[in-house]
Amino acid sequence: MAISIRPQNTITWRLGALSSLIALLYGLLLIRLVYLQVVRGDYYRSEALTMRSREIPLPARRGAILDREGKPLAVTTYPVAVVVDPEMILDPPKTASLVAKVTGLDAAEVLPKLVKGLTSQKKKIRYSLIRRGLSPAVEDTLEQLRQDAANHDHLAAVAVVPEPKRSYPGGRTVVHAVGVTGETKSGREGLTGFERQHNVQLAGSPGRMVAEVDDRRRVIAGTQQRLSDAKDGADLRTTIDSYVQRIASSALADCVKRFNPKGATVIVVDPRTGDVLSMVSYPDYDPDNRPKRGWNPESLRNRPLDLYEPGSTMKPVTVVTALDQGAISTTTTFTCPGYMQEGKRIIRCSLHGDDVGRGHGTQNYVGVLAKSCNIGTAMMAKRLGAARWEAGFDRFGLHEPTGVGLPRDFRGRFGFGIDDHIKGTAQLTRAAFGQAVLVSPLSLLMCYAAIANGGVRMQPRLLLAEQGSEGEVLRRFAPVELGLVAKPKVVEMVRAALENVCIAGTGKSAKPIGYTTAGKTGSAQKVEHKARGYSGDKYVSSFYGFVPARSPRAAICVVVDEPKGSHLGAVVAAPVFKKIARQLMWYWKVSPDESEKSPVHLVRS
Amino acid sequence: MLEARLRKNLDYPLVAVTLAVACIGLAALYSATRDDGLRYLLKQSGCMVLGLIGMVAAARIDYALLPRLTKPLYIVNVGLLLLVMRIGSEIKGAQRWINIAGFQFQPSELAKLVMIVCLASFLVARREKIRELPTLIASFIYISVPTALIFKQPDLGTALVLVAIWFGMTFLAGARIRHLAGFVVVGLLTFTAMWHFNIMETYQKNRLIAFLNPDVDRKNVGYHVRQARIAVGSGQVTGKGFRAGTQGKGNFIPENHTDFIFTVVAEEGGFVASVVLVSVYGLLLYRGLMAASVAQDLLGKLLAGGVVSMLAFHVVLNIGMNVGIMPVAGVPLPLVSYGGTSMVLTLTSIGLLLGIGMRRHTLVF
Repeated sequence: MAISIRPQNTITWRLGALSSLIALLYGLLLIRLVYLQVVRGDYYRSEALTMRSREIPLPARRGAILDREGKPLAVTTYPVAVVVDPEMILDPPKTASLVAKVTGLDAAEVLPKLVKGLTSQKKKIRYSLIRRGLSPAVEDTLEQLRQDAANHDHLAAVAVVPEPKRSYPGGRTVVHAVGVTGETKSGREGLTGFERQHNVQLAGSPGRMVAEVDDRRRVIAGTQQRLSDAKDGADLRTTIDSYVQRIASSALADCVKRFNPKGATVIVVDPRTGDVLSMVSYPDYDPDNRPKRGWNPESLRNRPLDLYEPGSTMKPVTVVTALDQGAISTTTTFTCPGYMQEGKRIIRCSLHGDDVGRGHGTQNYVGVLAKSCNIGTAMMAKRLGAARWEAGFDRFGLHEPTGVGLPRDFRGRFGFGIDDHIKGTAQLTRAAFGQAVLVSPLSLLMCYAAIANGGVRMQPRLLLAEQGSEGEVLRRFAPVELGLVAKPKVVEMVRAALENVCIAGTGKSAKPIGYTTAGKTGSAQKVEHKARGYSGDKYVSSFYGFVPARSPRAAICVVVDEPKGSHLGAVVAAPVFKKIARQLMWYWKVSPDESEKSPVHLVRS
Repeated sequence: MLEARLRKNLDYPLVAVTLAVACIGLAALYSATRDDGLRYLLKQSGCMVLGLIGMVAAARIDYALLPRLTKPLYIVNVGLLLLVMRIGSEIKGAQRWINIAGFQFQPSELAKLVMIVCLASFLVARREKIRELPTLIASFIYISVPTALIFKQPDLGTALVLVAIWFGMTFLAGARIRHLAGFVVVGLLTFTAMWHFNIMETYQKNRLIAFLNPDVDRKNVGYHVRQARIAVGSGQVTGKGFRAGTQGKGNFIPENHTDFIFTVVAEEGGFVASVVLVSVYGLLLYRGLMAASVAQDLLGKLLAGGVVSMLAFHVVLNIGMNVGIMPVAGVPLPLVSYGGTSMVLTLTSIGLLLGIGMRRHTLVF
């Protein structure tokens, strides 16, 4: 008996020991559960939340860019693409016929795109693009087909992906002002022009949505929760007049055809408000079909804001300043022998007709402008002195960016070019007629606009108003006055002198019949860096002016870089000005205002 | 179904807690597989019915007759394990299943119950000599054959369960504690050697590394461990609600209907449900231990002790790995994890416990 009882007792305590061991392990489990679920519960709850939630931005609509009448220059459209996951397809021919119905392709075209396969990285192809650029209505078509239970499973692999696209109805002539968008690190943004300058207003701000996701970060259907709505970008109404743009670009196109220049620009501004009605820069490119490579770098330049040496078109600035400062009077005369020694250099006048060989003779400021006499202008500048001349440069706003609201709006510079190292008079006398000075066509045109506007300088502007998506005006921008360039009396005298340029001077070819016209030609030699001097055959031919001369509606500049065949502003640029001026007068129904009486008293001996 | 005398002694509480655990299991499974319809639930319910039949059968058979079946059971068991190595279907890199008429049968699950029966008979036959080391070693060799076959599948978890059963039963049978301790030391040394000589599968090693430091590789190996911990912890005190769990739904815990089903209970029912499940299991083990202590003979005690060892090891290892205090060894939570063979055999083992408990007073008369 003892033998049989002993194991019984042993087993009893051993059972107790086993129970205790199990109880001990149980205790550990319970402690762990208390720790995980009670003590650290909050922590793990938030861990779980971050693990499975994902913030998804809701894209905002990019605002359109409109012309002054609301015609679109840049708009965002919403084409869609149809894509398929070949791995999910059960019956390729059946799916192909349904996809064909949705995309408008033939089933035979679709079928090869549904074949399962591996990519070069040996991954399964899960994304096969069937067709791009479809109307958003295909989503409805797809949904309708899905309603039919027979199709439902065959369409499970098919998805419609929105592919917002920025298109440019404004076309290539306005591309430099409007600009383009492109992909950047922070998404699609304006890269150039207006698109870049006003990117913030146009872009709006994306909304936020949170959704639960699975372990592969895919959104679980039905868990999306909208936190904030996207705020669409504003539509921006510009001062560009599409019709004026068309006039300007076609007039320039004729000139380009004839003189085959390296580049050219035309700007049309309303002198009363500073509104930029047209801005053309050649060469250009088609914003809707941008080349992937082989860009012509010239086509990217926005010439209206590119600094250059303006040449003779700078002279009115010098004349206005000299008269305003009292350095000269209406009767002060200047005698031009055709050349002048200044420091180490000789300044020459380019002479035509009777003047060849004997210079421009003796004349007052009116004659200097009419004949575009370099010597006369240089003499005025000498009387004026560097400080006062520079003050005039300031008053015309040439030391400042134009403020038009475009990127790369640089201020003009004084004391640059081949005379960079020479200070003092030699430099001043050249700057007086537009050498050794850098300005942009737009900034110089605004000087003419100021003369046209009775001396009141306006800030050039491109942005007219911000609009909501319904066309309601959210913010309107008023014209900005930047002060007087000179005493109104002086301005009027120079205005009349510029009118005379188009009657009796170099600007005759700029004047349309029946309309008074004021302006100034320019035929600037280009700096040849290699030669350390001015080029003999490379010129910038230009014409700056306004029309009608007595109650100006438009200030226009035409700048042609390196024309072939002729270099004279009167031959190359003035006719373009004339063509544009005539068509604008017709477009705006302006009555002819020309009288027979000459506006100024010409002093010439 | 049962004689009146036996019915009188039926351990009704054990039946009740068994059904309770199985019901919690079905509910958890229903929630874990909500995206797959009722397929899993129906299959599991079917297996539960099959298991209840097995349970009744095991309770009715007088366990005293079992030693006579030892030899054929052992041979069939080893035979099946060899068979599974040859023709078994491979799922996730392990050959564990044999397809029989559309059903997948897992011989390693059967091996656990068979080895309890065989080892009990083996130990009863050598009850006087178990205190001697050679007998203990012989018993270890006896279970080593199926254990090695299971380890080769590879199925580390089940192999460990067999070892646990052996420890539990030899301990109860009266083996000397220092002999058993010696085995532990030798075991640890063997393990270290296996680690160094690459006898273990890489995934088994990685699981251990991940257990020791889940932050080593959050995306791959540490993934299960960390995700399970997050799911359990995020259930907090009261849980997220039935079928309202988020971590399983988002596929963060890929095997949440099998080995990681405890995370579903803990996440959706919170601490409350975790404690309820653990407690119900505790009651089940308690009743099992009671059956062992009231058993009329050593065979009954060892059988009951073996079943309790098996269940306890499963519960502690499985829940332990779900809450991150045990390595991911891949053992199911009995009656709860999805898996037909496990369900049938767990219920059958509990039937064995019931049979032992019912027959406790035989000697009194």
